[in-house]
Amino acid sequence: MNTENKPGSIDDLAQLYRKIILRHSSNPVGFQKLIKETCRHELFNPLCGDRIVIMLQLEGQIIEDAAFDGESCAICRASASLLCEQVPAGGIEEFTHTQQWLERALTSSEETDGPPALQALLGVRKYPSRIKCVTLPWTAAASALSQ
Amino acid sequence: MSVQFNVEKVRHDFPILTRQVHGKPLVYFDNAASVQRPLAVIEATDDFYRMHNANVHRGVHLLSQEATDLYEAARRGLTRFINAPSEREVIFTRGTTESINLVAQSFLRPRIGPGDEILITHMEHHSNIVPWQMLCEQTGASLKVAPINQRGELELDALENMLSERVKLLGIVHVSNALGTVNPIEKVVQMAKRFDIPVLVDGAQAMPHQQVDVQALGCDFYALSGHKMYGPTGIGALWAREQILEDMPPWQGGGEMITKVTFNETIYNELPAKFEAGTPNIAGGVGLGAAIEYLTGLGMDAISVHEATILEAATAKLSAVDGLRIIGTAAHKAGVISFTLGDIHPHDLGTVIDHHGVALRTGHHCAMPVMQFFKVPATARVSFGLYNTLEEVDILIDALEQSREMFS
Repeated sequence: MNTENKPGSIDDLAQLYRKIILRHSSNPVGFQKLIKETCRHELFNPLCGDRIVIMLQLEGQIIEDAAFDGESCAICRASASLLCEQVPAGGIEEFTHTQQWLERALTSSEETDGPPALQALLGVRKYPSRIKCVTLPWTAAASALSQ
Repeated sequence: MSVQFNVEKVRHDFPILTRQVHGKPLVYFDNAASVQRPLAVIEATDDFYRMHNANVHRGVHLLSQEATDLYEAARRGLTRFINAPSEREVIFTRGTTESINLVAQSFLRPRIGPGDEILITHMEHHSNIVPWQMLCEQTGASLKVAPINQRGELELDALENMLSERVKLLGIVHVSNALGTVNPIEKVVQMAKRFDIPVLVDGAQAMPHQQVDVQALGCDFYALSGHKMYGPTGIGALWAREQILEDMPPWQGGGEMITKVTFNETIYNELPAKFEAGTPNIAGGVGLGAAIEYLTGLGMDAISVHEATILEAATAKLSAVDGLRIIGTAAHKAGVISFTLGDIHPHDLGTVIDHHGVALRTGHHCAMPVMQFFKVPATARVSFGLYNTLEEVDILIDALEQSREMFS
């Protein structure tokens, strides 16, 4: 097995824990925020025991507001925070489009388009064991919407 | 007689320890998950496939005889290593998990029903929880859990009060993989024997750290895994008293475990073959045999003394790290330190520490009830093997300090 060029140079680590990620993790948007929620979904990451709850306020086809709760790592918290910052006032269709883009972008470096604000999450690409940390809140939101 | 333990010399026996990780020397502190293998084990499995490979107990040809001899020599080695009275009592399995499932389904299932209880402790690995939960669902029995205290020690008085004629089996971990606690098995067995309760000990985490004597422990079942004790993955064993095994029906049916098969009836093979249906992990068994020879050569007592030195030094140094909380502070511990560091999530810590070449485990360690007890979602865990050094502990401390700065 080729052990060269493996993920994990100090640059990679800096990409993973960019300032914006650390900022969202320590001062998250929507964390335990009271909203007029209309749906919610809780998910666990069996690998680490993390828990995330996504709460959404849906009016028609528009996601008016989003909040989250749970115990999770910095990457997962930042991802949930970015979701709560970026998703409100957008439509369900737009959310689904973004979520699917994120799933693709995390596993393929060819996916370059997508919301500029979410580019910071792509530092996790070189850390396959951490990809679920990013996707967990988005999967939870998608499940909440499908109820 | 004390055996001289030269860790620098021992390290040369482990080829992987010369590896670099992210440009740094590997510091392997994830031994409770799986240890590294010495050259003796790697070469024994390699030699088996190159020179002796054939099925066991089947052929009259030379290779089959050699394969059988090597596999059975490993069983003899393990029998001596755990001081079992007879090779007939040592059943090869895939590992501790399979051993426990075997006892649940073959031994306990026919003996248990509604109103009966299975008693375990709050510090069990999922492998000593879930098979019993499944059995309870199948039979209507209930699962009871003996409590632990804030140091991560078993509450012996509470456990004693939970013993009764209703309890049909007591399952207990010898050394906790999440906390490092060493349980007083002899004492617990004595308590259980007053009610004739069979005792199963999960020995996965004890085997690499101390000399295990199943007769001295007094238990009825002892489950172990090869890959925790410097052998290959996919091989382990169940030790049980011969009379108990004789009374148990086979667990899985197939080849190897029979004496005679017709469509009307099957006569089962003798012990231990009765519980070893199908072609086993032969090379794994041979590798485990080599691991036992290797450990015997070094001396388990010498290994215990060396690891205790590392554990003591690491506990002192970790305690001095600002914001670090050790989870599990039992008076008697072996090989494991679980901890949290400030508000840093263990998962983030694990990724950053990895960049320093230090491999540690983060998460719930397959012991979620332990995490719930200490009200943490996860911990970081360092666990020591016979090749770890005090210098490596210093590298860990330095990496932790740098991680703390990064997340401050």
